[in-house]
Amino acid sequence: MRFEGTSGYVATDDLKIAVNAAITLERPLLVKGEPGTGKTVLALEVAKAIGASLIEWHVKSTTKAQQGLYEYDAVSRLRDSQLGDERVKDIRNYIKRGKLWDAFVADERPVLLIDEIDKADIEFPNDLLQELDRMEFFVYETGETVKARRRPIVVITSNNEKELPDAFLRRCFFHYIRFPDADTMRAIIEVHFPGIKQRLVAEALKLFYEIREVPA
Amino acid sequence: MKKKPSTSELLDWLKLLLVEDIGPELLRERDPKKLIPPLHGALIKNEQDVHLFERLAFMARREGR
Repeated sequence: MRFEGTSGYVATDDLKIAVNAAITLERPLLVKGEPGTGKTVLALEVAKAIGASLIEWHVKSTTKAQQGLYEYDAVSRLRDSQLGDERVKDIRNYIKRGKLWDAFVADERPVLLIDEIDKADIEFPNDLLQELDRMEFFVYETGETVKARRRPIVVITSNNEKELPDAFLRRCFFHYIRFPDADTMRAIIEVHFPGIKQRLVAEALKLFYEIREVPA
Repeated sequence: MKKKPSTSELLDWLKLLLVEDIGPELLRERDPKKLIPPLHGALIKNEQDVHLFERLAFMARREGR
C-alpha cells in the first residue's frame, strides 16, 4: 500500500516519501505548513488513494483529548434514573464514542485526521501519547479496554500556533509542506483548472509571487 | 506581508479571474489609477498589507520600473 498522489492532488516527491514512511512506521504523520497549503486535504487524498474511509477530528481551543476517546453523559443518566428509565441499568447507554474509538473499531483500516492540533491547549497532545502509541485506551466506567483492530493511519496537522511537546514529536513522522515553487504551483493550477490559458497563469503567478515577496 | 497568500487563495483568485473573464493583458497592464491587482481581496487579507503593497507599487512606479 503506497501513496502516489491522486489526480486531484499534486504531491511532491518528499511529501509522498513522508506519507509512505509514516504508513510503514505505523506512526502518526505530523504535517505542518502555512495555512492553505493542503495539509487537511492531504488526509482526504491519502484516504481516497488507498481506498480507506476518513475519520475527521477537528480540534478547537476547547477540545479535550478525552473527547476523542469517549464521553460519559452522567446528566442523562441521572435524569433517566429519576424517570425510572430502563436504560439506566446499563452504563454503556451513556458512553458516547469519540473519533479515536470510531477509528479503532472500524472494519477496514481508516485514515484518522486530527486537524489543527495546535488549537487546543498544551496538554492535549500529551494526553494522547499513550493512546496513539499503543492504539488502545481504557474505559473506566465499563472496565473495558478499547484496542485498535488495525492501527489507523493517523494524519495530524498543525499551523504552528503553539510548540508541540517533545514527547509527542518523538512519536510522529514529521513533514513540513514547503510553499510550492512556481513549477509545482503550475501543476496544482492545472489540476484545479484543466486547460487554463498558460498566459493567464504566467501573469497571475508573477503577481502572486510578487505579493508574497513583499517584505513584512 | 503580514499574511502571505497561500495556494488555496491563489486558486480562489484564479477562479474569480476566470469567472470575471479577466485576461492576462489586464493583469500585466493594470489600471494606472489602481496600484493593486484586480480582485485582490482573494489574496490580501488585511488592510496593512493592502497599504504596504500599494506603497511599494507606487514607489516602484515612480522609479520607472
